[in-house]
Amino acid sequence: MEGQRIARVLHDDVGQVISAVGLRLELLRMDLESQAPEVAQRITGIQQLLETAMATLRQLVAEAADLQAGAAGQSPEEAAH
Amino acid sequence: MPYSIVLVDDHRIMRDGIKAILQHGGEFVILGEADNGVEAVRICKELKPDIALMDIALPGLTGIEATTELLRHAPGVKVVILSMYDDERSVVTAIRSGARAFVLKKASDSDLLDALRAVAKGGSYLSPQVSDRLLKRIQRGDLESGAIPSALESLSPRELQVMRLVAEGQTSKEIAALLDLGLQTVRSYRKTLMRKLGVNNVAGLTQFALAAGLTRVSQPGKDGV
Repeated sequence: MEGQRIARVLHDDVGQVISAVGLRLELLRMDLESQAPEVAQRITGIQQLLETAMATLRQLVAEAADLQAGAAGQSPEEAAH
Repeated sequence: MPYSIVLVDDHRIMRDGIKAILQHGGEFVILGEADNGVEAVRICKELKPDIALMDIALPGLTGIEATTELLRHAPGVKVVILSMYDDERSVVTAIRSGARAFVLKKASDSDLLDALRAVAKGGSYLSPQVSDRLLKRIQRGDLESGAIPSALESLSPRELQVMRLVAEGQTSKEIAALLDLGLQTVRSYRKTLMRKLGVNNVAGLTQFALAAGLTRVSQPGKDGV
């Protein structure tokens, strides 16, 4: 159950926050694109870092969900949420 | 004229982020928001947006069940599913439910806007990570055909929906309210699906639902019909 709880927290909280931060950075990037293209470029770099973090998180949650779902054959989405 | 969207996600932080992105460009206008599947169906029936942007993991009705339900009432609405995960079961069930696109939640807007533009123009869209994975599976010749136990193939989408809710401890009365059906109709669905699966009680039904991955948890405390 502990694994399932951790997976749920990762999915429900951390993943959504990372994604939401990325979307807010996207807005900043759009605003700065014409006035300060170098800054916009650096923001893209930060978004790529967040994307890497999300991919790691996705993998981690899928592994935790696989362990939990076991023979029941639930999808990671179902087991994590 | 901008395309109208109903935004469905139980995380306000995500809704706010997506809303800000969509409002920035002017191509899309947010008609309404919902934080659960039942509300999503109600709002889409009422507002009939061009697109419903639907999180897959919602409380009550899942995003996939809400998609099936809202397309029954408002078939003109195009559904884009948003998901944290790209597992095959989620993708396949989403597409089977009638969704036109499956988009991974990411740290940028690239996939999302591409998906909305494609769907708005009558097309469909899968996030590149999702389509890459499916292509590899197709190339290997092992795409999902055996993923759903054969006994379940005889069940209708509505019966599968009722089975999941029963397995999660909902009474027939609660299911009737959730799905906007009559109590007798729900009881009839329960009887039919038990007969089709050859089980006599809720415990047996729950076992089927768990084994098929239709539900995350069983709550055997409530066994009312």
